Amino acid sequence: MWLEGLLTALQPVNILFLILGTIFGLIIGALPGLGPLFAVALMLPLTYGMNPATAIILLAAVHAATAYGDSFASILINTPGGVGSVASCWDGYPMTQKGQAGVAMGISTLGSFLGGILGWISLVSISPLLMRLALRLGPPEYFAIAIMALSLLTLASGGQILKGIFLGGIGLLLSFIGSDPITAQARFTFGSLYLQDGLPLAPVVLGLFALSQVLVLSEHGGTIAQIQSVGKVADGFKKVLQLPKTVLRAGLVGIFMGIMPALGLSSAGIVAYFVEKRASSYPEAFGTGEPRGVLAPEIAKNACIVGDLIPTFTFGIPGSSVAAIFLAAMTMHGLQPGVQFFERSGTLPYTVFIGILLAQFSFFGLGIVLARHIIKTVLIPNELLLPVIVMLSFVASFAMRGYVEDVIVTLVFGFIGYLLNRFKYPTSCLVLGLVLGGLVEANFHRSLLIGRGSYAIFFTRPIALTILSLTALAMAWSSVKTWARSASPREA
Amino acid sequence: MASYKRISFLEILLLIILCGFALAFLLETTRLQQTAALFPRLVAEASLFVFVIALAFRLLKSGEATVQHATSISAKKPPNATSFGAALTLQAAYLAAVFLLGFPIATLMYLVVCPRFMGYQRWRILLPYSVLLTSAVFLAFAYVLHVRFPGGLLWR
Repeated sequence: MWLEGLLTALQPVNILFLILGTIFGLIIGALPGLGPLFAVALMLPLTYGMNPATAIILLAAVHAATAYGDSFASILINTPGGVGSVASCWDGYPMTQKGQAGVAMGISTLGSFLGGILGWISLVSISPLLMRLALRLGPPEYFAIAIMALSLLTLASGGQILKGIFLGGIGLLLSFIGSDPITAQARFTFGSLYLQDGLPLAPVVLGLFALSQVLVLSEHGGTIAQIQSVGKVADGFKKVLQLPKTVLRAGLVGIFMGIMPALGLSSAGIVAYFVEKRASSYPEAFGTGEPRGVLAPEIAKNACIVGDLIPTFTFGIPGSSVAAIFLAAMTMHGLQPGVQFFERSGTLPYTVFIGILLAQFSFFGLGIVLARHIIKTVLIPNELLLPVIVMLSFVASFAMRGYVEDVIVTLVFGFIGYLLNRFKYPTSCLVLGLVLGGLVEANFHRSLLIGRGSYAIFFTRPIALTILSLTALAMAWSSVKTWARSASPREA
Repeated sequence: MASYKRISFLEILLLIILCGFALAFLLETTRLQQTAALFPRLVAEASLFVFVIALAFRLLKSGEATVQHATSISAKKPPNATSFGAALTLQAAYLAAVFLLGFPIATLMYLVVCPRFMGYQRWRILLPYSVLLTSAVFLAFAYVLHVRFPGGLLWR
């Protein structure tokens, strides 16, 4: 079956659309703010006339390449290419400033590839097992997972815990704008129709990271790379091979985030970044151009987007908006997701799986070629580059939904991001709160409904209790470590 | 001393914005049903509590670091650079121009004016660079990605 699937996937027409999809995905990914959702949604109507295998292969190629291409702008110009690559800015951009753009791009290229491969292995080998586990989780468990992710705020704050928690709270509050998840009552819209859909993530992060950085760089002049060097992509590959534990850790985070419905691309990179920071002996190096700070989110992001397809193919449950488009493509081509897809579609599932694997190789090959040239962007004088970043940020904000207000949101958050940056407030905490807010609140209320208003539900379900206990232990351990580290120099 | 005041003002402005968010959300919860208000109220109250503690720490801290920061900011402006206020004003003006003049004209103007404002002198590079970039982005987004850019209120 696998051999037949491989032969079908390798048919010239499939390879042609694989390469075209990869090129399209890389271009869309490289544009600030436009991520896999935009690219895959745009491609869906074009698959009408194709056979099912070619259609899914094209979409898989676009999906994987866009997720990878998202990192170009994040690493080179501190502008998140999409909501999934926010965390790649945090160490990728400092590496670029230190004249190591090539190394960071090498880490991103090989890291994304390995993440995709890890996600694929989980897709074809342990997906039924993982899904059985995922289906045992209810709202209390999801709430506990979200709290676990929120506990990373203490790490995200980089030692400024009070400022970090305050900004995390502001991020949570901003995520509450729009309809209440239980009663559907409009909240915090202050009379604005625009805010009834909630505050969109992409324009906010474009403002916080891209426009704020433009304001900072406007004051500096020169070029983004503070020394006139970009380093070698191959050195990035070597770095990745020296960090197998990071690869494995971030891969597991990515797969986990992918298979969980509602957790997904926007949080995978961020969570993997902070998990890696927590595991590190030198967490203070993160944020200053630490290679593991680039590798972890890159691995997790690509593992997540493949892991995302596990519930879609196995149970017909889309784990994210992009997976929902895959589901739509399958339905459009007469394929029934779930057990029937595997039992009644002949070699098609194997062709699709091989196609997803080939998509990883495709973006990896093209990515190596592209990365070598695109890194030179950081040597362009800021006077020429900054207006382009502003223009692309505005266009990307507008292009997603066609709302003028989205561009205004980008501008406002650009100003706020600049002030946060200038007075050393940890912006990442605000993003963490914004990303996780909806998940925390919705599952908090659902849990209370199940528990008939009693908070005991969080402590009587074994999995939820275990996750909450682990979170408390990890926070306590982290505090003890911080205290011990701050106490040791005084003793010396 | 002037730059010391400017920095202090900006930090106060930031704190007012952030605190204003939290307060506005807290006030808004009084108008909501209990279920819709419960979690946001909890978060808003906790955020304001943490804010008060953080502010107390901030005020108790020595002013030394702030003064040093102010000194570094007030140092001589590097070549081909501008103040953040000017850069922000240009961004806002560009946004306004997009809706008044339409995307292609406003973008072309912005890509020419902004580098000149920052001190870029080479017209022979700047003009073709701006025209090519504007055309490429406009054509790619409008015709390939089917984005409907604002046409400009003045031309209606």
